[in-house]
Amino acid sequence: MNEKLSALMDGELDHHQARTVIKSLGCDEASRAHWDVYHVIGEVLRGDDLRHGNVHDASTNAIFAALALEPTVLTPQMIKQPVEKRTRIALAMAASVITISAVGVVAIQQQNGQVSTVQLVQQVAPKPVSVNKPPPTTAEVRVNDYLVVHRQFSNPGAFQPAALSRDARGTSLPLSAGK
Amino acid sequence: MKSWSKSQSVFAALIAGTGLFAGIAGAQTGHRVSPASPPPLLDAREWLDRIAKSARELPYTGVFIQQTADGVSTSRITHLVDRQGVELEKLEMLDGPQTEIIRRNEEMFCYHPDAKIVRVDRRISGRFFPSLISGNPKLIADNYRVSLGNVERVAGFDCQWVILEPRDAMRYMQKLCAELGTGLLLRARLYSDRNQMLEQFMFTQLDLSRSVAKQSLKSRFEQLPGWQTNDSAKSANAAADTGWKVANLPAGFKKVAEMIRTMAGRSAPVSQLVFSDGLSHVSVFVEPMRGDLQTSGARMTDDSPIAFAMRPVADHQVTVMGEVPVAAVQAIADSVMQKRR
Repeated sequence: MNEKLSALMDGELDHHQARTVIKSLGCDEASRAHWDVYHVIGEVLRGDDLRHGNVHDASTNAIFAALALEPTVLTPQMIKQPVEKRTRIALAMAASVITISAVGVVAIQQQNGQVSTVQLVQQVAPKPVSVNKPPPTTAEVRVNDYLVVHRQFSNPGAFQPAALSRDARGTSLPLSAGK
Repeated sequence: MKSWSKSQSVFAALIAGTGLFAGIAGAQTGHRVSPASPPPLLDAREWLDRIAKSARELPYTGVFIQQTADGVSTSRITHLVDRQGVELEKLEMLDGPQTEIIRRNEEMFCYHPDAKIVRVDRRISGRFFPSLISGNPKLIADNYRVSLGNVERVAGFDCQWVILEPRDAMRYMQKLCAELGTGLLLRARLYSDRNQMLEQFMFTQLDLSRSVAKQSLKSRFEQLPGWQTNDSAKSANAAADTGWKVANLPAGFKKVAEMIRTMAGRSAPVSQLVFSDGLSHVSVFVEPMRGDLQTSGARMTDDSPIAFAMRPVADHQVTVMGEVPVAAVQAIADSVMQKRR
């Protein structure tokens, strides 16, 4: 559940998944507690208060101490959603019970074992985008069918028609005719 | 080790900071824990053996997540070998449309309650957690440098990381974390050639207490009326000589299946050849050119760790795909040819 909450917070769930998690928040005491903690994080990330020491000092210091132990850049590199999808999820969430005003992005760089930079970037409000997509091209349909066969039933949920790349869905397929 | 979720890590840091759930935080940030009871000195290859065997032979039931660029999905898996020696497995998708897969040895029944359809197929080409190793561990060691990493805690169990680094550019790095006592995979990660994580599987809850009942391996939908069975894939899956071959296979890949299959929306049958290096699978599809559009080129899919390449060959369209680098699907596509009759 924590992973799901985390994914929800990161905008990594699709509409259906987001709804499922949000629904389950209503009846799961422990999850709701975690969600509250996520919100505290959100508030911490959004505010300038960290630098001014307005947040509870003890816990703030402990946070930084804990972050200093974290050896990696916390920005997800490869596993990320297309921008369009993230935006749609953000809208879906805004329309549901829970309101999130903005999600902070933290980038932490580490030098010589010290946390050297903490950037708190405020995300601008998402612009509504059209969810209508052009119809799939012949080549896309063909590749999608093969994807299903290749992956067999290992993850059927992942191969709804939206599974293939957004590039291929456009009119100009990056794969050229001929060679 | 890369952290893949910023809020999860920050969450872990915060709860560590407030001192509420220090134990959880340690597990989530992946700090090293000392092995409580190190198994007798096993080398990395012996670990591969245990990983392959335990997934096939042990009774277990648990929930795991699969994370790709498409997001996170959650599944429940239940596995058992019955008294007759038949390997039984039930996989329930916990997100999205309800789906259940029942596997008896290599025969798979996929129940789609929304459409009331059961699809039947033979298991060959997919990447199935926790049974990721399909080949002989000795052959895997020919294609990957195998080494041992840290011991970590996952889903309440201590687990040993086994690192598989490719010996060439034809496959990806994989990191497997196996439960100390049994060798069952608890976590598996696939990395691109640029060391970016492409896919991750991880148990979040697991019962290894051998208390799996055979009854729990049945589909909830098995006895319900009004279901259609579509076994076209299975019946078409009989091994056949397709008349096609890959002239220059990348080192370590072996053909594991060859068949002529019918596919929905296609009037002509499609040839499929499946190759594996013991860890990764590559499928080669060949279908007659339908006059519409010839395509060639190679690249990654956006939402999955699968690369694909397309190329027209002798009035046929060849499509190659697998959990391997683009260079590998390209190399295979380039050497697909008709056998001389």
